[in-house]
Amino acid sequence: MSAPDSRPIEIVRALAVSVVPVPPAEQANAQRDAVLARMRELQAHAVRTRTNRAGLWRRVVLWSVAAAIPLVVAGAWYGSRGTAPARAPAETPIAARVDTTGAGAQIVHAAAPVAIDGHAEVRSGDTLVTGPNGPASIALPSGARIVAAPSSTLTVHWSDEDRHHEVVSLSIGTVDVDVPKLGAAAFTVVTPDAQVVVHGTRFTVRVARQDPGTWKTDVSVTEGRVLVSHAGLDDAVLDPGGTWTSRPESPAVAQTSGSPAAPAPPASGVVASGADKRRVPVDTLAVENSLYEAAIAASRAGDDARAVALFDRLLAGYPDSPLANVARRERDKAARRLAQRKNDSGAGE
Amino acid sequence: MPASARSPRTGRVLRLERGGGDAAARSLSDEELVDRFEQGDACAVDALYDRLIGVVDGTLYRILGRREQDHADLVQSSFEQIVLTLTHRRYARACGLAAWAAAITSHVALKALRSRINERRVVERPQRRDSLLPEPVAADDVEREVSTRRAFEQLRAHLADMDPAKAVTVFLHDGLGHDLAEVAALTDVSVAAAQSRLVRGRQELRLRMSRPPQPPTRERRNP
Repeated sequence: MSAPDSRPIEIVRALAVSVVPVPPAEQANAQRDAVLARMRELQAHAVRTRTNRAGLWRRVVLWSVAAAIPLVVAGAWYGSRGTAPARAPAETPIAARVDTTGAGAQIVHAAAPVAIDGHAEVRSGDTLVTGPNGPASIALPSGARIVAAPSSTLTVHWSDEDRHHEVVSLSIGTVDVDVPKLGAAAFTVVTPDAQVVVHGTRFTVRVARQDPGTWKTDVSVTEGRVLVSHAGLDDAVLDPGGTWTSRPESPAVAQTSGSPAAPAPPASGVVASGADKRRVPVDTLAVENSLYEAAIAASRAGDDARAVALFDRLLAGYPDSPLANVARRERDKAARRLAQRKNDSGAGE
Repeated sequence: MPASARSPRTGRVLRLERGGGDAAARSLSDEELVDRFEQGDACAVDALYDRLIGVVDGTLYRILGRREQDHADLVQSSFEQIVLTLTHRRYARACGLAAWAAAITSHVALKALRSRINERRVVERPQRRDSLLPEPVAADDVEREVSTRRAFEQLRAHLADMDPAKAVTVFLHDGLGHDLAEVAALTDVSVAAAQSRLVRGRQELRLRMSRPPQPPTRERRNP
């Protein structure tokens, strides 16, 4: 090798291939024994660690499988319970649970009808349409139970003001309602031309179409007491055995028919007992108050024509009411203002 | 009975020792041997030692220049590192087992060389008797042999002073003859990084070896 400083790579190469003297045999054997013992120790430790780790993983997997089995079984059992319930989207809470018999029933959620058979859940705002042959039983969270006759259409929802106030809008058909004592809460059945408010009772509401745009609501009470409103006014309080039927005329006709000169007949429905057909205004004070308050409100709002019509309804329907004298005076004032206004407008023309 | 022969170059007696372990294990390929070792086969330990002791011992000797008192410890340390890399599955089998062992042993040897040089700056350690024995050299080649030994000593000192990654890369590539892909696999870096280390290591080594030798500045003191 020449000029080693100028050829470092060659020196490295020469170093790497330089001869290595063999160590003495005793020294090599002693070294071999020591190194092998240490290597075996490390190997055994590694195998032991790997075995323990594999055992740990095996236990973890076994425990996971054991924990998953009940969940899988429960899921399979839940999925195998007959027809899977038609579930509405979860954005709104469940308003009622429905059990139907017969085919053809469906729930309309967000304008999308979903056929149901058997058990189903209805959310607030959903519409239930029963099939032509099968009634539906509806259980509400308050405990109220409704049996909807075949070919009925109703919507279950809560009042905007009170989530405990359950409202069933019956478009057509018949419902038998069994409402437990609700306490402070209320239950209302709304029909196209009437509203039935109850606090613990059993009653039946039937809605039928008379002519296009004209409806007729029949209410019959089995237990308790219900308040029937018609055309925005509390018309009747029905006791057990009482029935109520709305007029075939539309509410709009009744409300606009009043005039100062010719008082319109009362737009309330016909109240009769179920047995002897007598009028049974058992407790009309609430209705009288409602009529009086509505008339006063119309008068203060400047709607003297409506005020006169409402006063006329009160006086014609309940001539012996303690509010009759006050109502007459207020009606006269409203009628004078109305006549004065007409005269002023006629002079102006 | 061990067979013996005489080295044609040095005239020193070379001896073939019978290794321990299973004969079947010694005939295994590298991958099969590693598999059996990982499975806990005790015979694989013996076969692994017999297969790698030459590489480990030779690399240590060449880099350190002699067998000193801690040589057996360094051999054991190198084998421990090899076994640990095998048990931790860090040996990716992208290169031969011998090359893998040489790379690991190079790290161990350079680290020992650095600490030895630093230690000798302050403490004068007695050398083993066998390390002081002159190797048999032909009489007509004494001058050349002395020059070579001096170059080797200078090279060892420079390798010990260099960045370990560069020193190992230069030794593996220029000394042991591994190509860049093998060096990259052995040092667990990309080929580009291995090439960069090689170029920089060569430059540094060339620069160091072109300088005139510095007089030793030892602070000697007896232990």
